[in-house]
Amino acid sequence: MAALTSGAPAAGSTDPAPAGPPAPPRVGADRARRAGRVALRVGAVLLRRALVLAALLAVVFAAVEILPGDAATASAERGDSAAAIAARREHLGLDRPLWERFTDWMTALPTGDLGTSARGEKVADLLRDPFPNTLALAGAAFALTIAASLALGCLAAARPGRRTDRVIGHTATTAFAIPDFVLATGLVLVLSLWTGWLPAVTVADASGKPAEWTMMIMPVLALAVPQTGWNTRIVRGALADQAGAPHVEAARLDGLSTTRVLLRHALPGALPVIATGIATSTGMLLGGAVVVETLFNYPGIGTVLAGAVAGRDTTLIAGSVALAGAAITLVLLAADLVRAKTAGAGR
Amino acid sequence: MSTPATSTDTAAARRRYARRALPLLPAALFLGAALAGPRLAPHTIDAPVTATYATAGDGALLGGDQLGRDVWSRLLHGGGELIGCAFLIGAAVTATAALLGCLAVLRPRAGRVLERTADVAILLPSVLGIMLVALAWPDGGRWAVITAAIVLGIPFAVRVVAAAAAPLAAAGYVEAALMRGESSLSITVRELLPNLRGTVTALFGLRFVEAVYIISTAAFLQIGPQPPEADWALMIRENAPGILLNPWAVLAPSAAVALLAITVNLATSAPAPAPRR
Amino acid sequence: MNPRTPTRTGPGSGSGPDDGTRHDTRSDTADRAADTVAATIAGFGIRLPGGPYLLHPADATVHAGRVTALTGASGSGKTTLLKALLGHLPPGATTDGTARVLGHDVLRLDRATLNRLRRTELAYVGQDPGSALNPRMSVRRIVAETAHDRTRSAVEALLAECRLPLDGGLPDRRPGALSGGQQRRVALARALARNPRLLLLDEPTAGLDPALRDEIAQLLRHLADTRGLAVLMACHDPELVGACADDTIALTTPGTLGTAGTAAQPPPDPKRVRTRIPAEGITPGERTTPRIDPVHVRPPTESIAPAVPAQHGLAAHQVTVAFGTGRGRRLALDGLDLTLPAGGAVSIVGPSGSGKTTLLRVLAGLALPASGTLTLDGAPLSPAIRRRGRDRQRRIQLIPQNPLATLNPSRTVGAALTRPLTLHTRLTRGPRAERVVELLELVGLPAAFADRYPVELSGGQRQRVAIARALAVDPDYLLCDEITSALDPDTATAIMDLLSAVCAERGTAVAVVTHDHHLAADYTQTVHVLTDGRLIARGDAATLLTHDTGVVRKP
Repeated sequence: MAALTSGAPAAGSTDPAPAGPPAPPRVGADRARRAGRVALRVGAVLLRRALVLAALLAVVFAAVEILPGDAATASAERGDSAAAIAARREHLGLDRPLWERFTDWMTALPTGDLGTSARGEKVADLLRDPFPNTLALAGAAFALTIAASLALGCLAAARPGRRTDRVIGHTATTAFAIPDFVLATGLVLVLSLWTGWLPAVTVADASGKPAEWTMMIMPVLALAVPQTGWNTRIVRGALADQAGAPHVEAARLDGLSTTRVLLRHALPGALPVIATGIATSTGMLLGGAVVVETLFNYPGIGTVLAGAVAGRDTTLIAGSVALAGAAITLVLLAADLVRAKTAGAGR
Repeated sequence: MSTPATSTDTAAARRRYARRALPLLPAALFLGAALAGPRLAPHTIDAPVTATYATAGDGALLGGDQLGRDVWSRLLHGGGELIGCAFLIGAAVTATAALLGCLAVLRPRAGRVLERTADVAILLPSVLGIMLVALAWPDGGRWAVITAAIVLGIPFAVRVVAAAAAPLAAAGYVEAALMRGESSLSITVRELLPNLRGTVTALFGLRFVEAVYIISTAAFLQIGPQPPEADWALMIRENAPGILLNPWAVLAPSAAVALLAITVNLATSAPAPAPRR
Repeated sequence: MNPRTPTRTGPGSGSGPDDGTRHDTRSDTADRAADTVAATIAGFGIRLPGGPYLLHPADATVHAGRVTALTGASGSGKTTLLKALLGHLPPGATTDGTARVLGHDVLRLDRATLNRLRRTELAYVGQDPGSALNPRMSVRRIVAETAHDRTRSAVEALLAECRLPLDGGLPDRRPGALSGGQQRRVALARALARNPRLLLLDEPTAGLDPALRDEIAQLLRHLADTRGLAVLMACHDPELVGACADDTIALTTPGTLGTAGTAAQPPPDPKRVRTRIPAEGITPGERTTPRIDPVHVRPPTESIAPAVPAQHGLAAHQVTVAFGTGRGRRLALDGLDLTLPAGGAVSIVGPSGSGKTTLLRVLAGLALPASGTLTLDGAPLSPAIRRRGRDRQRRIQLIPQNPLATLNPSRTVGAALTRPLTLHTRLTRGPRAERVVELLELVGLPAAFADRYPVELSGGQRQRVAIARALAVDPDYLLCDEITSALDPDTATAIMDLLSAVCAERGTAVAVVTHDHHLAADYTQTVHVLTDGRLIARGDAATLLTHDTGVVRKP
């Protein structure tokens, strides 16, 4: 009250400033404390994600155990005797108590040991070469879908309800509804067999990588297009929510251009939701990769897994699930980072 | 402020109704055709009638497949089971999610458990999940796929319903219902769900499309229907080697799966996913 | 009497609200105003097709170099008019008459011209400028974005002109780290950065304490005087109108159109506004909301004796409610006592955010207290509604706040009234239907309303149904959460009359949460005054709220 004298408004003292201006001498201490808080929060987020991943692995293990049939019976030939199956069971260590096997499996995972396949090979060895190829394929499709869905979503949101918006909306819905293998078949027919522009199957070179980069085009497209359909809807929805925010409304009443309002005022606020939404759908991308790889004979885990299905190799699939879960966890962590960066110094 | 609707222009209402019904038409036509298909098929699904990968028109409308069977007849037979299973999955997931989603909102503690479950489910790509269940349960066959699709689909669907129900749970009529001692189930059924019809319909469409995706992908990976069954996804895989000789053997089932997903999706205009955090 | 009168610093201004200097200022600016009309509306009204007027047709002129106040009851269209002058109409709205802004027919401009006008000549600051600032931009960038001159020094000069401190790193902070008053001034700086000719302000002092309000008034006066800016501000605060307005435009809700004020019409004297008589320029019948001055109130917690636990009544003892955890933890209620005696009527008043609704929700069992106990007729009462048992659930009923959400839109009125009867009585179908008709009659609605859906009812009718629904189970205690705040004054009075008559007749106790002191004084015996989650006064409603007791300041 007393601070209000003419010529010296001294707003800081009369206003109940919630965050308060940090007084100069305390800046250093404040910074240290803030750094400590940030480290604590980062640790909490990491821990939470790790726990969720561990929970997934436990569920996977439990599902494999609870459901009838184990690796020994699954990989058994029709003629095998009960004694032969029991021997296999012992060989694979399936006769040990459940809890012991679970802790063994879980504690071995961080060291890169994913268990032993039904055929007695190390799962880690089986997946070592194909998994990076799958990551390359899914990563390329992921980058493409982020770029495309951000562009399309913004384009649609620029003129809500107009023709562009409607066309993009319907196309996105349609694209999302088409299963990747159907799309892949269509692409092969058009881009390869009829026009001959691209090779229809992927040929691996000596190092196990696709021999030419053109071989990546169709698998990436087949993965990215349905995914872009889904993600465009996420971007469009998040931007629509932001369009109603008071500061976006205010920017419009300030006469700023549509582009500026969209990119500078609406998009930053929508990014946290977009990041979470896109990260959440990474699973679809990885799952799709498995299918598309089978179709194009791409040297990734898809081909290995197709073999695992034929050979009834549960451990191999559980190992792949663990790897995929870890990859998705990393993407979710990246989304956490984007969210923390863009959530703003809100209130 | 909304004002009470005083007059209803019946002609306008009818026009509005017609415009709303229009997107349903393609789906209805397509589903009808697919379900009536087996009666219309000229040949059985397993008898060879033409040469291997015979071109279209030569005694078979869409030519022959890798064993010389009639593609057109197999196409007409191939949809019923897929649609039936997808419907079952879509309905089961939607119904469960509708109840659990409302419960999550009314009982915060249950809500937190469901939220954590969804966090875990996100880490499991559905294709891998199906493979896992189908292998760990070798005798499950089709039911293994259906069970896996339902279990894997519920967590995400619960989130969608909970996000839509959360604002309603703060509404005065829900608080009044709590005050007179209604049970959570009663509030869900009487107060929440009647106001979530749009969300639930859209969710069903989304889950149906997702189920079509999962079942057909599983079939494509040879989980579920086994040869010589006629199944669209299986046909695509089986006939892929002969795609140049008789493109219809692959194109026709591809188009059928795509049309099924697209028409149903259009009919229910799925809501944009809204992840909560 | 008022130590916070504005202190003008602009040229040609004196040092107080005494009439001499004020008239000098006015005649100065009147000369300039004669040749510069910034905006003019003639017979200008806005309505939804087939719906009510959002703005009743009005005539007015806004001059450059003058501060024009736009007054009128809530719902009279103040905000709608301001936005219309920016060329922005509610979706689907149509207009009558004309609106010309800086020589343009602003509602018929093409997009590009309109944007240029908004970008360079007009500026608008909304009711809650804090939320209108992009939370992810620094103050400096917020102001520079619309500025002609984006240099560092120009931006800082603007901030200084808006009396924002430049030291302490304020220009590099984001809006979330500013106080409400600072946010308001940043929004003003952003508006002024484009050097506009017409400044439109919506409730520039809403929610500010008197000191800040006077600072804003001073600043506006200064801008109009030094920049020759035309200022049009929507305002329901008579003191602000008195402190800085040259002209007044009064909008009316029904009937006659508002008249444009001229220099001949004196703005209301702040001293006179402190009485209960509505001041000129304020629509008669408008309930000006009394404020509790947080500066004046010294929480005399120790002077308020804990309520004597009544043998018959619903009581809260030392109730504390916290929101958030860790560093974000905030107390919504801090050790509060309240007793609702059987058959009595109490009210809970206080500014928004004072915790009065939370207190009611604790009594209702919808919000769980962190500590404290509840009793019903002296026996402990579970804080969670689900654990209270059927009969106690019946005895306490709630009438929710928002008339739009008080009834389930998917169920008929009849269904809404039948359900509590099914749950709590043994009536069979026939008698239940008869009872529904009785209940409708009780709240003054025809029996035919049983078949209607809420969308076919007006706000007042919905609240009547909500009252009937609560009374259906014959409760002993009725909790009312701002049940009239969204209704117009006449409807509000009718609803409160109905409620108090029905409750008196049945011996039902009522607790009323309201921000309206008149309502509390007229319909309840005991009032509880809350500020920041603490009880600062309790006593006889009529005495405490009508006389200046030093605790509750009246306008």
